[in-house]
Amino acid sequence: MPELIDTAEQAVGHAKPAEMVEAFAVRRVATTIQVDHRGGVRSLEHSEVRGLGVRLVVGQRLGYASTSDLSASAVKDVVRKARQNADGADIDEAQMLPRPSTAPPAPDLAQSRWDDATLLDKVSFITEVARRVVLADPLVRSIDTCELRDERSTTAIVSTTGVATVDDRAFVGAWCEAIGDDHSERAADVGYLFARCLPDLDADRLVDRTVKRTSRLLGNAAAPGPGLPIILDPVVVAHLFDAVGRALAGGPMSSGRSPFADGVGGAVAAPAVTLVDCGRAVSSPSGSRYDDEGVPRRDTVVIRDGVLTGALHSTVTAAAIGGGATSTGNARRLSYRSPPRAGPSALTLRPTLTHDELVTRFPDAVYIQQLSGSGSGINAVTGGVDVGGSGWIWRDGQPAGRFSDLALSTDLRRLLTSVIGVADDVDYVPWTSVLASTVVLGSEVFAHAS
Amino acid sequence: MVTGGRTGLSYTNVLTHDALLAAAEAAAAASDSVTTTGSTATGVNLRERSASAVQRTSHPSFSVAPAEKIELLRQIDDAARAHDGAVKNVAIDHVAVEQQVWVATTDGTMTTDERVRTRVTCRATAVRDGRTGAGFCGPGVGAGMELYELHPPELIGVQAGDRAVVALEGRRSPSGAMPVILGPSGGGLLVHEACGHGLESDGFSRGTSAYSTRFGQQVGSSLITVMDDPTLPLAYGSYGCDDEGRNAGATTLLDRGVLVGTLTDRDAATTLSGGANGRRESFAHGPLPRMSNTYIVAGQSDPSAIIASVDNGVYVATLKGGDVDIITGDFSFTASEAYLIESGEVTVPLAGLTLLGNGATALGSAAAVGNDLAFAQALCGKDGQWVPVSYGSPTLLIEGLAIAGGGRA
Repeated sequence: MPELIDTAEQAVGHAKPAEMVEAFAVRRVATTIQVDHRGGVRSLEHSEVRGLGVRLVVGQRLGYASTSDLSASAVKDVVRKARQNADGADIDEAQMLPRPSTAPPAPDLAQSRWDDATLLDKVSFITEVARRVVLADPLVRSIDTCELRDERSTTAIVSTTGVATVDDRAFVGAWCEAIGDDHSERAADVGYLFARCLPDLDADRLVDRTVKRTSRLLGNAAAPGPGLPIILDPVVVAHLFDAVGRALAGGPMSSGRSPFADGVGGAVAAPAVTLVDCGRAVSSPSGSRYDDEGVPRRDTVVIRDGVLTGALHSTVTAAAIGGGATSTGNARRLSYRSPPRAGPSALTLRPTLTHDELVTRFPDAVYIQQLSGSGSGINAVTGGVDVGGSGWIWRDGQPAGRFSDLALSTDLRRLLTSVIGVADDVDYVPWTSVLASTVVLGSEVFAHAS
Repeated sequence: MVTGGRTGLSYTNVLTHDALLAAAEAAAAASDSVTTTGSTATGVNLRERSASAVQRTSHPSFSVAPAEKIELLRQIDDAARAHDGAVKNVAIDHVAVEQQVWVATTDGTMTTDERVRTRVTCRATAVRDGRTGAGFCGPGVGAGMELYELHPPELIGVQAGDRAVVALEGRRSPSGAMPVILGPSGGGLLVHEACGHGLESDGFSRGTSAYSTRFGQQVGSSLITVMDDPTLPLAYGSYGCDDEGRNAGATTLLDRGVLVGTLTDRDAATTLSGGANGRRESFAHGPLPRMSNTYIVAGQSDPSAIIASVDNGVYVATLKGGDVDIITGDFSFTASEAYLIESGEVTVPLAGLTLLGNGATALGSAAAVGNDLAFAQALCGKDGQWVPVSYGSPTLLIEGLAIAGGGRA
């Protein structure tokens, strides 16, 4: 998109001597279709957003400003505001902009086939999923919401330090919350699926996953017995490792606000744990060619065989932590309105066993499918984990009685040291930065049912 | 654009005539694609009217120089660190919002509202003997710099620091069903999550809320009356009109335990009784039925007498947050500050305390309601949208609430 890079270049052209200026220009187009419990389209949303964010560093002071007005006068004005904001900032020696990378660029992850899907294709896909979910299993009585969202964006980053990148990103995601009822209990869960383009989204798989996740929360109640291994559903793993990822970000690691801050070079997890941030993962919406300050994304091993090897860095956090650290291509922004911060893109646990091996090696276990209170009960600063869990008794891989009142009380480091197996069913879990798989923990991890 | 109960939504942040027209055409196209009824565009003569502003300031945050605001934050930081040497990290955010809202609808009205809110959040981390504790304090108001007159910076820092230090000292909490006393902040979050979300009209009208078949029934103790009131002056969750242009008004949700009201958006208001609660995070979001300032009405009991009445139980001063399954009504909350009650006295701090239960059952087990109503402020998330709310409660005694103890002693 030529006009985006033109806008970014225009902003950088307003830099004064001794100033470092970076312009981040973005255009994002998105469609969201929501289907209601009757299977009809409840809402359809179309959006287009353009914006420019300017990061200006002068005298080791950071100023940031943004605008949605991309006219020449507004672009000039936003640089002036960033300069003004830098005046009020404290000196921070870590404030700097990246230099251009010499690494060859990764292939474009956006899929051209995305453009072929019409609005009608998208509506047909998601209404069909909603219709089939309630027909697939008599225990699944209705849906609450079924939703499809696709998004395509282009970002252009230009800086006075020589960075000049343009990156296209695209994804489509679908999820369905189904409600099950066996006349004695009600249960609900969400099936989900993600791809780069609509033709790659498998409706059969989404229906099957939604129905299975909901129906297996019904049935006779059972009490999880002590001493059994704990199997964590990929959704549970995603929420827990999302917090691990935030704790391993360069900002908390350099400021000491992380339970792993003093752990680099030491064992922080069981030997079964190798944790990799896959910055270019096609199977995650966060996977892209460049991060949000124009540094090429890459795979970064943060825990290898249980040993913490480092943190996930942007240019600034790498400078802050020192010791020769460099950006790992993990600069992320919420939008053009905020400067980049270091954070995970697509954390993945390296598998240690197949699904068949999981069933064979762990015939009896406690399977936790849902967490409650994870938003506030998992603290990435202290590492504390105090949440509720629900799921079912696992017998040879099949449900053998549900439970809903397990209290889970541990911390992230204990959690990591308790991992005894990682299955190979890796998949992206929405609303997280994790490509999650089923994980087995030793029995000693959690507290007890109330 | 709403046609036949279906919605087409489009937005743009480019405020040119062409871009706005393109957005309107996109909404129309979206609506056409999901409905089978055709319609002919007609002009609308809009009557402009202003809602009564319930959030206002005589000291706007934007009139204060950044250096002055930074100095206030330094005072908070200093107070937190000075409170106890164990406080090692402090992170503070000052967020001020001024909004002018215009809602134009084809019923011929253009409603305007002015909103202003300011909030400061302080997160302190304390470290001692290999343990880490976190403390939080985050007051907010529907006003400007008046926030710091109502909540002096030093006090904010001390509260966050103190909570972080207390968290270091918590011992493993007990487990099982026992009397639980919720302090004002804790009770407010409970009623917000365990009752309020289930009474938002979308889940209610779809039949997916645990409360959807219980209108007119006793769902809580007769001691419990729950209100949602977006007209509370200077409150964090207040507004003069909702985000669909309807005049704000208070809604009684539970009247002495009987379910009598719901929180409706414009769509649901035709079939359900409730106030104007259609809210959006921003222009980029469609309206949803949401809470504003939700609270349990103050009762008659002296809070200290409530504590003295419990021989063996727990006192939960604040909850970190929690989750509620609105379909079943089951909830899980984690305490951020809790203490043991022994022989009618609050004694040692507890760690890792989780409350498990069901919203209606818990409200039905309320045995005493204090006379000390107080509010806390938060951003409430739903369907990816975050809106400012407050929630309040007096001190509340709930008999037989399930506690799952853990702790990392």
